[in-house]
Amino acid sequence: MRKWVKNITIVFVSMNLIFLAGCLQQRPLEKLGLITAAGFDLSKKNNILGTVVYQQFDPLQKNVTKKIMEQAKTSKGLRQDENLQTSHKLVSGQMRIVIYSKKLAQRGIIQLIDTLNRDPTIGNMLYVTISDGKAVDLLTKNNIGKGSNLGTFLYNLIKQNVEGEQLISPTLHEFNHSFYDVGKDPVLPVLKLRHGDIVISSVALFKNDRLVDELKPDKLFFLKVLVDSYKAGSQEIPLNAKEFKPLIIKTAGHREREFHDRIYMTIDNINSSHKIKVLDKDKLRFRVQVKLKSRILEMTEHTGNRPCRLWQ
Amino acid sequence: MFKWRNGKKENETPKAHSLKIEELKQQLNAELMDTSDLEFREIYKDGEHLLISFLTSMTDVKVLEDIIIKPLQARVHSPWNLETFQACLPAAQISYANQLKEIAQAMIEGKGYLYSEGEPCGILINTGKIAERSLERAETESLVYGPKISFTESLESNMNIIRANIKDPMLVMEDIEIGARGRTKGKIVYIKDIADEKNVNTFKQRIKDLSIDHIPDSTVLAQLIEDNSWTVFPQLLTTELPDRLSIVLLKGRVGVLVDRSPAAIYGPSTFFSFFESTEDVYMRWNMGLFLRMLRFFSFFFSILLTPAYVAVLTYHYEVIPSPLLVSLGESRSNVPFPPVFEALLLEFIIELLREAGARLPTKVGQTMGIVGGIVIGQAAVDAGFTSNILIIIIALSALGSFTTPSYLMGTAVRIIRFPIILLAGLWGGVGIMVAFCFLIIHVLKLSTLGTPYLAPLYPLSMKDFGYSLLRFPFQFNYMRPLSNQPGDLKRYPQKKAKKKKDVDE
Repeated sequence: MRKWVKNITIVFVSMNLIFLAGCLQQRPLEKLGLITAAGFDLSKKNNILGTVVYQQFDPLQKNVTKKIMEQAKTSKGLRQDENLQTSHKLVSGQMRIVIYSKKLAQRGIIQLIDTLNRDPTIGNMLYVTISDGKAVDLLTKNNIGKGSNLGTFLYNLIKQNVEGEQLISPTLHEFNHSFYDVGKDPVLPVLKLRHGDIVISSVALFKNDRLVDELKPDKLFFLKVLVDSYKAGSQEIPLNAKEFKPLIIKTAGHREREFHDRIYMTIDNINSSHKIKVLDKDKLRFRVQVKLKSRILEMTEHTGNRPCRLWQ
Repeated sequence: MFKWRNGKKENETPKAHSLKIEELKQQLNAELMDTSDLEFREIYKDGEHLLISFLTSMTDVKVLEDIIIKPLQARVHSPWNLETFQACLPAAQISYANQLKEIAQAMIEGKGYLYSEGEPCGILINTGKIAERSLERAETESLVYGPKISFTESLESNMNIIRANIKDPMLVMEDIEIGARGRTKGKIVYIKDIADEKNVNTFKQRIKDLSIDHIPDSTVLAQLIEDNSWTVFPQLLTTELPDRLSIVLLKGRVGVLVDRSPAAIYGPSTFFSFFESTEDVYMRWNMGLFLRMLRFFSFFFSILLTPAYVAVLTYHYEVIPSPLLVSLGESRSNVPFPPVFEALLLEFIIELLREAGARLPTKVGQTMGIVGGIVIGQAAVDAGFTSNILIIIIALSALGSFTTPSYLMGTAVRIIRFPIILLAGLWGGVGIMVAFCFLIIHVLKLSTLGTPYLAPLYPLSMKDFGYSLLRFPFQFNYMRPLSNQPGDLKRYPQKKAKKKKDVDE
């Protein structure tokens, strides 16, 4: 009796193995169009214009990246329409960067972010960025060579600057964190097309999911110091020259040089920490205390190698 | 099959041979089925009649002449009886016999039978010659470091090596005989006060209960007395290194030597002991530890790397890191087959190459490497047969399986790869998980000589890790492995092991 049960189990398991295998949808790598970058624009009143850069593998050509544009109401609707134009099945599992146009961001983007969160194939390390101007133009009218993969290029552009601590990491995970956390709002980099090159022009400040303001890159250091601890990277900062007067050594040619009221200093950070205290709950006043430990790399005045403390 | 007739034989009535030489000759001829190599030498002297019978194929004639015929001819004046033989024959081993069967068996083993007419019994004298090769370097378990000597086909010389390695009077060698027709001699070897008696008895009982006509080699015996004969994993280790056997004997394991077989069996051998090499012990501990870890990693690599490739390229394109994406995709786009088929095909080619290389003589074998590695590998990629990344992966996993010191385990590793590749192709990552879980459950269920196969990991015995999973410096290995349940637990005193001696002391 027990042997009979055992035989049935073996037959059942092997039947499962063979027949259930057909239920699984195969996605062989070479038959996929791997979306590496996606851009979203506002078009007309309530439509979104989607642009995808995808990579497909072709034995006859090397490194094929293609671009498709389509209009729809939702981003997954876009995907379906875009799929009608390709020979390879479009999938989003290798998406590295997503770009929303400034106009779209000003109206709020959480419904578009949400679909990224829902898709299990999309990783949390996807970069979310804003384009100054149309995202379509950014993805199609740049002169980054056809041979290189635009998605990877953009990904490395952001990644390199995040690692150099020039930017606050704009991953999907951090966006969600700042969006859903109390007292915190997302900060995303803004990409801009300048003479055919893509550059990071500024940083977009959000209130909830709406873009409300921009911060120029030279001010970014101060934001970064307030949000994160700042460990690597150098920064040029202007300081009041009067406070340094006793420190400045008068060299022979001192009188020949014009005395500026500002002294510029490039520092290389070792570490930083910050403390934010609420002083007044009603009028919302804060006291921010930032501690920086840095090396001086360069100064516009000569002070010698005496140790000094700086304030600002 | 043929039955083990030990029991039956005892019931047979003992039959002494005839006291007449002419009749004895006939009886011996009948007993040995008129074999053509049966030779009789008769000597007459003053009415006395002497017979020397032997098998020419098993006898060293020179020895026979020197130790039997010459001394007898020198003493022409003394009568030919048992006392004279005993006094004048210069042989170390003599025995008295008059049972026909016993005499016939002894002659098959190479003894000469000396009988003087009218005496109640004759004398058996060892004049045998056995074809054997001299001691050579180990072939299947080659070593860079440490003793190179290996067992030969002769039981006597194997025992000699073991005794020379361990000069402990507690070293026991118990006789066994296997095969009703082959009658292969063997020895169960263990150290009395270290080895667990349970293991010795298990070995003895399993070998005794065998009913088989003949075992050609000790590896066959290992298969016959294993706990589970359906699994791919070997449960008894065979080794041709005497130093390896002496190391494990001192750890409390039990060995079996079989005549005409250059490999010794020992047990209980756990899963991890198949990844041990004597070199781990001979090397300094940090290198030994590194090498042992390397082997475990390569085991997992060997099993999981190709299935991972198949699963990722068929189902989980998301996990490919972006720097690898382009090269992987480009090489895959040339291949007309799905990844499972591609992987199975290449694994098959590698297995073909290995098998062909093993069958061919060494000189041609090198050509095989060139043909296989360079020509087939390069041409297969150029022809769009496989992707070059898969070639790297397959080569890696093949190399990984070759690092296993036990040839049997290495083969097992190569075989279990195939079903996992198939499952990875059918179910992707889930398939690999299913296969891996099955494998772990299976290995957990196995036993070796009735003790757990996965010891010391399961049941967990942290103190044994230094012997099996890892390799600790000697000052920590002062206890014998507990999972062998040795009688004498301590190898050396713990305090002394950790003490450093100064130069001036």
